[in-house]
Amino acid sequence: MLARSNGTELRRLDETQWEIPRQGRMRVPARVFADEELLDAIRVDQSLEQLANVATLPGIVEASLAMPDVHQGYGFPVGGVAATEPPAGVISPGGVGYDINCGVRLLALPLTAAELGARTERLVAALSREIPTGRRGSGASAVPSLGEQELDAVLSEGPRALVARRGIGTEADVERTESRGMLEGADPSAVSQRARERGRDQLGTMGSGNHFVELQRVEDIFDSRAAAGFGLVPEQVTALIHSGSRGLGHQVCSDFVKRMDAKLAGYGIDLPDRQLSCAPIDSADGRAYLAAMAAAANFAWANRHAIAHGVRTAIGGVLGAEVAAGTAQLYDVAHNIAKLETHAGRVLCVHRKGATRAFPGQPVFIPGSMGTASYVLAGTDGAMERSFGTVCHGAGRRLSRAAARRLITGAELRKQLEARGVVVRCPSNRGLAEEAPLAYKEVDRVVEVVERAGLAVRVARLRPIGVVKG
Amino acid sequence: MHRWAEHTGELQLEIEADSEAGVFAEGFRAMRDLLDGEAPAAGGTMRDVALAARDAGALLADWLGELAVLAEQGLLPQRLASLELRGSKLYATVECRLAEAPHLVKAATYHRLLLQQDGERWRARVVLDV
Repeated sequence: MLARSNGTELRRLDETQWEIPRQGRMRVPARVFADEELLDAIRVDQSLEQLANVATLPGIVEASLAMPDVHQGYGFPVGGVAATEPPAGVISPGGVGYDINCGVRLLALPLTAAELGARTERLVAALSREIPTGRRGSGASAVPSLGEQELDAVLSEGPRALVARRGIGTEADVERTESRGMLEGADPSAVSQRARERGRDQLGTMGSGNHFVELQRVEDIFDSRAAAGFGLVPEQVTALIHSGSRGLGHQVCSDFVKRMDAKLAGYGIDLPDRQLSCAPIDSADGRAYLAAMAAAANFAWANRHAIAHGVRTAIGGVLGAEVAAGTAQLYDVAHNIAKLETHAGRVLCVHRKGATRAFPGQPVFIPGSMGTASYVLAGTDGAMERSFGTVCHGAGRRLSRAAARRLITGAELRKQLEARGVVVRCPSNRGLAEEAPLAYKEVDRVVEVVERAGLAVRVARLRPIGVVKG
Repeated sequence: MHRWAEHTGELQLEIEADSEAGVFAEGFRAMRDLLDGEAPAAGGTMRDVALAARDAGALLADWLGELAVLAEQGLLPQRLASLELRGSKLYATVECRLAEAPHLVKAATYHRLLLQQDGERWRARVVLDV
């Protein structure tokens, strides 16, 4: 079956996968995981054109891939995956994004939603006080500005540096973090002074946009055995943290997009979009970016680790020290990152831009939107065979921010969410409206496609009961 | 003049002016409105900005990105005291007010970047990562 989308020809491969055949400058085909309804939503913006552009990257193998939550981004689409093969294959900073190691961390509280009861509002207010949204804000738990040595330690070791030097969090938290919160090859000296200055006082801050800390209850369990293994039980309260590497990571990306953009001709690389600027993985520029990106990724894991400390502090203040101590980290996973991984016997550089690693048995978190649901999934062998061990990262936007604001105001959304029993704290009505549930695709459908495609299995569905937005 | 075009994931700024420098000045106004949200006020804090880029398009993206970084640091741009373009270099002095930015911009990207003269008008397009 052939279909056309914005002038792009699509061929259906199976029930949940479509292909843009290799054409023009594409080195490999481009493939999209979607059903018909999601594909209709994907077709309305430039996602597929961007995905075809990614397929032109030197050294890309097999296909450029789009997850069912894909939407238009910059250079890469959000929800895009590309694997390139060293040494000639390239690393593209835009394929990671400005928010290096943006990701999610899930904490499981030792109580049920019924036991939390009327204290939900107090807890959301406490979370809002403890976790700054902007630069430093007034949050009590923000890690004070880091000195040179301490910043180096965070860039090299990630959250482990906070455990050892400040007593923030635990070793158990570190063990339940992707790559144990520390990418190998991180080099603080590859991070510019400007990036260091931007990040120095931002550890423990959430940022704005779609970043959040959300309180949820376990509404449904789909796989009892996996849920028990993850430590989840019905009606349990959880806290989901979504943030990244803040200004430090943004600056690392800016520095290297500019640096590689200026050298493309020297590498003999011609691209359809400057934001895809890249360098061979084994070049000096490629190695320097990977070292800086790894440092920024470690910073991001430390950031979510510090935010989790703020969450436990808030829990301690409202629910007591015992509940705070019993709040366990389920896992922490990145969705903006590039990693050297072995797939089918080949070492590849897997770019995940708005896409989540999903190795067999690994917990994966798919945030929906404030008014819908989030999911806990477990990766499968199918993901290793079909998507370089990757699944989606959320519901995926379907409307622009301006379009969302035209349809609902922040004040209206607050009322709607409160009517559904969701307590909301957000400093900006504009920002709240831009993140309205109506701006996103239907998360249930996105996750269903992921499962039907064999990339992951559903473990649990989490329903929001309180949210602090950046 | 400027407008914010529809973009599913990010913000796409489109600018039109009667000179290249006019594009940069209009870009300043767009970023000021985006980052602050309040009416322009006396700032009191001056910041010098010096940038160099591969070409004028990249310079425009770097300029908008620089304004976003100032806001992130609690320096909300209010008034463009001076602006000079010399080839692909920019020198500017920006008056800022000290306040936490209500809206943050991560970066100005090179995606679909455009800065070109079209007859007697100059047109530009920059996508911001928010």
